[in-house]
Amino acid sequence: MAAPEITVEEHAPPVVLAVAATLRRAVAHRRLAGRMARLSGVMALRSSVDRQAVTIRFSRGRVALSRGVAADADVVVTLDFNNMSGPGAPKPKVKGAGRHPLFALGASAVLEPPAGAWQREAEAFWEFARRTPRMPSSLLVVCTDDDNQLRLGDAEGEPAYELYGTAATLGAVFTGEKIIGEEFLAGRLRGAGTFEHASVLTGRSIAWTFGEGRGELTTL
Amino acid sequence: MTPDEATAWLAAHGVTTVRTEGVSPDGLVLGKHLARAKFERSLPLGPAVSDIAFAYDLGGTPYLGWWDDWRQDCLGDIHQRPDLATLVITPQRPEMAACMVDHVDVSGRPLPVCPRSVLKEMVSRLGSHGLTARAAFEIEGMAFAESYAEARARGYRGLTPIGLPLPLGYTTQDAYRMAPFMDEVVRRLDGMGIPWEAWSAEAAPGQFEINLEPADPVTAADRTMRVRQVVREVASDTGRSATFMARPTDGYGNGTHIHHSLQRADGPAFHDPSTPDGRSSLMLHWIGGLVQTMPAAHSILAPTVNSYRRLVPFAAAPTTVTWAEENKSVALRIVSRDPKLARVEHRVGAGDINPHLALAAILAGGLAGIEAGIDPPAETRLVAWGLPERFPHLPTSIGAAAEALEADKELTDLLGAPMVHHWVQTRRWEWIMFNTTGGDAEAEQVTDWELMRYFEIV
Repeated sequence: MAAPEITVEEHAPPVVLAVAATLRRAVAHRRLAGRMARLSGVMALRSSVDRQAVTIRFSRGRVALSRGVAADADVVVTLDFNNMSGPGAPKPKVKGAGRHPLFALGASAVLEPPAGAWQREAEAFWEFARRTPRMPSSLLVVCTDDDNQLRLGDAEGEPAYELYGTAATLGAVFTGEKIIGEEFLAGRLRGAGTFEHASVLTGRSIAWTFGEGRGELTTL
Repeated sequence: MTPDEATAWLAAHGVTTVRTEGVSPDGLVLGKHLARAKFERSLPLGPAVSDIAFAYDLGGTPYLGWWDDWRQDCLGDIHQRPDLATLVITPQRPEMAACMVDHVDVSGRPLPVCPRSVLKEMVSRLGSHGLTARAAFEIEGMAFAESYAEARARGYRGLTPIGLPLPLGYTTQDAYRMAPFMDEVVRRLDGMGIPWEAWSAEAAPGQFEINLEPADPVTAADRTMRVRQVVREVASDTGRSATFMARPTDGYGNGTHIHHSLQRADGPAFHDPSTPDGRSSLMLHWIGGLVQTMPAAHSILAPTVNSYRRLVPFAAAPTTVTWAEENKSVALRIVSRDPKLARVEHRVGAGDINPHLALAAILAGGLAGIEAGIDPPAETRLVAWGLPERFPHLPTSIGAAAEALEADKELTDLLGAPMVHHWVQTRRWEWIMFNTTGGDAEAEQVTDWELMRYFEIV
């Protein structure tokens, strides 16, 4: 079975790009790709805290995303895009799942692709970002839960940049669920290095969240 | 004026404080209030400010996501180099002088993202063609009876216009109601030696327009920045509020029309008496360049998310990439009937433009035209509002305009790649912030996010 084709509207807003990126992560899992290819229906995700919203049209292998909540959405999920998982995340409210239970379950599954260990996700992010001009030549990532460390890039000498965070935070930024700069400003991530490296790492993190480095994305 | 002359001038005027006034890429006026002796000691490089001053957004969040060569790895100083020719006494505080500055690095080199320096580069490039430019800004804004604090408490909605609450332009009844406010504005402009030609009540409730005399480009942009500052200060001093947001209400928006002309040593360069319509070939190439680069320049002429709310058909703002003689519905209104009047009125600019960058983008567009010999498309002899899609339209979002600028090699080469890179990144940042921190991309009217972010500072 061919992998589902994911398309977004032209000049798509961040929430559309981020959800499309999540779906593309799901496509990388054979089981979820197959499940996505069989889905048919319209799901909308709406923010509980601001006006962000995205409509996802699953049509047996074709997935089209656009801004807003479509009037013909079968299932509408209201959630906080900035706090979708982890401790304290509010429970999403779901409307329409009673009438479309299988679709709701299937769509929810493909929107929550399993994340690997933070180290594996960090390696994937590094592979995506490392050739970017002005990126640090090496990155030391330290998990503050257990002092587990991962060195990426040049193995010699002092690391050019160091990142410190909990396993949950590191997992969130390296999967693209959260953005490095936001986590800095929120105090959940700490760094040792230059402002230049922090800024460029954040730029790559934004691009990763919005789906760069996850294959071609078709624009409608 | 030399530093010694400045010292004597400050002493002669009894100045105790000098306020530096520099323009950031986002159009903020950045400065320090310096004791006179400190100001004098700082010359010629001027006082230092942190380079972070150029690196946070209009909501106060540090720009993160890219890097610029002019920045220092761990935050450092840049300097505000005074342009001593711009020293003026501030009329409402006679013991204080104000001085425009250029932003330079610690060795005195202009920052590539200093809007005033970018504009000077365009003037210099014109000079290499034996040309000088004159420019005159039409400045639109709106003023309200509520103080800034009251306006903020109301979320900047439902405010009381200082004139008539009617959408009528030019009426003297409206102007009479505005006069207590505007009289104080022009009194201060007179005191600062800023030659204004006229002010009038404009079409939206509380809306005024101030017309300045033509001047060389840097002076014209400096004066525009200062006029906007004076308006805000008069509002603040008199318990009112004022804004230059492109569309702060659901009524007509605020624009900034920029008239400009070119001169050679022997006379007006836009005029050629040997042609039937009086237009020189240089004028036509200039128009050709402005038209070709207009989608890209639009990013600079419509700098905020709110700028794009002004682009509504039949709401007086141009929405198409068009030009024509004596046609106020097009983007470029040409006047060529008389050598003394020969000029281009660039009507695209929003009320919230950075005047230095906007004029630099316009001069760059014209330069691209004369350097490449670009011919303009056909003149638009139609009402250009509400034209169907087959006519070229201006980009309709901050993201689309940024894409157009990033793709425009001519404008990038002229304005400088570092400037354009910084600008494009900051516009994308603004788009992300609008979408992810409470704005509403679906909203057809101005959002709370825009009012909170822009009303008091643009």
